[in-house]
Amino acid sequence: MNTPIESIEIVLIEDNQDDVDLIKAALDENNILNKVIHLKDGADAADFIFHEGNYASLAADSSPKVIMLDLNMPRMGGIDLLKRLKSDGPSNGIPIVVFTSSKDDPNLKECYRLGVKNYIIKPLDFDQFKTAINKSIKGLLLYVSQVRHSGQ
Amino acid sequence: MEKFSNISIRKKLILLQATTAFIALIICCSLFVFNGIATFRLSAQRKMQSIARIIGANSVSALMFMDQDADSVLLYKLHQETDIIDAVVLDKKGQVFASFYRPGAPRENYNFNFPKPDEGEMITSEFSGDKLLVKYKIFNDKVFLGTIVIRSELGDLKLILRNYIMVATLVLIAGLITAVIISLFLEKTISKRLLALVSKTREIADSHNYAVHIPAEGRDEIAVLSKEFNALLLQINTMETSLKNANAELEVRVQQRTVELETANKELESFSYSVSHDLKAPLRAINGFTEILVKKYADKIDDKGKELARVIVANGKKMGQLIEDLLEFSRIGRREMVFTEVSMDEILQMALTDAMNMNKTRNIVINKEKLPPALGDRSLLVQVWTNLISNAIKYTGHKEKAEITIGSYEEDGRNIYFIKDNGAGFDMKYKDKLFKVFQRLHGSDEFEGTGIGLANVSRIITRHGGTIWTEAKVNEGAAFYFSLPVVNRKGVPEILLKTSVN
Repeated sequence: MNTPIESIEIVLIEDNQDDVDLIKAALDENNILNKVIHLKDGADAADFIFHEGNYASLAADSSPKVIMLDLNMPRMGGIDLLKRLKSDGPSNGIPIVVFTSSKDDPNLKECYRLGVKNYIIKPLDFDQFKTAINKSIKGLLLYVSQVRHSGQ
Repeated sequence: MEKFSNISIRKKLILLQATTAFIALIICCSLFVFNGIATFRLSAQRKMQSIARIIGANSVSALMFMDQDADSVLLYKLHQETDIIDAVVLDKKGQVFASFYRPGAPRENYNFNFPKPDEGEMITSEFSGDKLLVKYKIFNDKVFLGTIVIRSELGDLKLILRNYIMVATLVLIAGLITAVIISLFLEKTISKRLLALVSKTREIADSHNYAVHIPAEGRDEIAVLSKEFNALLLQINTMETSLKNANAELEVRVQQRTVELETANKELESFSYSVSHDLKAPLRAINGFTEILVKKYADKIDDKGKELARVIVANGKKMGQLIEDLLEFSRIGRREMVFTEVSMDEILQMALTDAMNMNKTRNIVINKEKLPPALGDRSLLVQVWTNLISNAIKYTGHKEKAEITIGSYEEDGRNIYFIKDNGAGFDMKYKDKLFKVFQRLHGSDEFEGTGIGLANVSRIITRHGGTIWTEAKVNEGAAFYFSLPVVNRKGVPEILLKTSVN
């Protein structure tokens, strides 16, 4: 039995509010209507995922997730969060797509080394952005709904 | 025969000593021999003269009384003197009064000048060859009675001469041996010290250790030479030390500069990245929200508003492109270069194929020759060809048939590659602007582009240690030439290695 795609939560970790709005608009226009949980940096995201700090009282939930992660953020950046996610048991399996604004980003290599193969270089053109997000996120959602579920 | 100047000082000294001694000894021995001969002759002369006087005195009475027998007996006594060949007593008229001939000696007649009684010396002697002739006038109370003539030979002279020569030869040999021994001793004090100086010099030259001192005892010329040599060594040592210090200082400075450069490079890199990240984020928002605005509020915005929104987005994209180009330009300047032998034919073909695929609708004729390989960074050289070809294709856009010629030639040890087109060309007075960032000679409505391509090409060629230049005429086309070092098997020129950072 497959996990319904609609039940998968999208965890969006992005510090730039404009980008958050653009991504949400892109998801909307692509008819991806999953719940989006926005966290404003890596530290916040870690608290949320590992139920620490502000999110310590959060009830344990088993809802499947995909992560959209910006690499350049204040406090804890994308790479530091990735390192933590990849070293910790259950969070290791969450599919991730990273965002960066330049193909020159030195962090991209590090991401690849940490096992993240999906990345989006945020295009200036909104239509291209929409297409890129559609392609990556739909793939991840499909993966979670089928492969990951059968593994549980 | 060996040249005198090639003979070692040691041999010269010995030769000099020996020659001097030899000449001195020869002179001494000659004088000695001459003196000996002179003394011998003088004593022989004295002896004969006294014999003549004795016989003369004893002959007085015989001559006065004309007693020839008595005189003959007297003369006969001369046979005891083996030197005497013959003796004759002549009376006052010159007639032979008495005579003596050495027994066994051949009797020979000889003429002699008969001395006049009242002229000349009482007694005379004359040497003729090895014979001595003594004449003595006999007087009695001033009355001239006759003359006695004695002829003798200097037989002992030969023997004495031989002895003298023997002694002289022995002295000569002994003198020479002494001279050579003295020379050998001198050689110890002169040539040995010179040779020591030479070997020390060689040792210093080999070891490059100038902080040594050569022993310089005494006050002679060699000591002076050694002292001067020491002074020279001190100078060299001082110079070497200061050179070493300067080098070390330079090394430290180079290291400092390298660290500074590396830091600056890293800062530039992170700056470029920040520029890219921070400049693009607001652009993305402007573009994205404008597009969303047009879509979501399509019914509330009229056509003019939509046109303005399109202009906003187009400019946003253009600015994005400029940022990308600027980043690319800085990337080319900083990128580490990997030098290999690059087949220009191969990468040209690659770039041409790509360019032709992108311009399938165009009528483009390519004329190309075989190109020599180049020494350089392959991917950067690919960029050079890609840029130059796309340039040529772009600026021949107005032509019905584009003609592009690619070739090369060698000049002053460098390979010159060129690409010519029959496109729009440009006015040569603007040629300096051509290779600068964002400098364009054509409006972007005429030919699109940001003006980064040739700047990148120029930067790549410069980083390879080459140069780039151009020739063009308005509406007749442009030609781009660039030089690259010829590939040699000796390795990459050092100057090129240093241009690659990190």
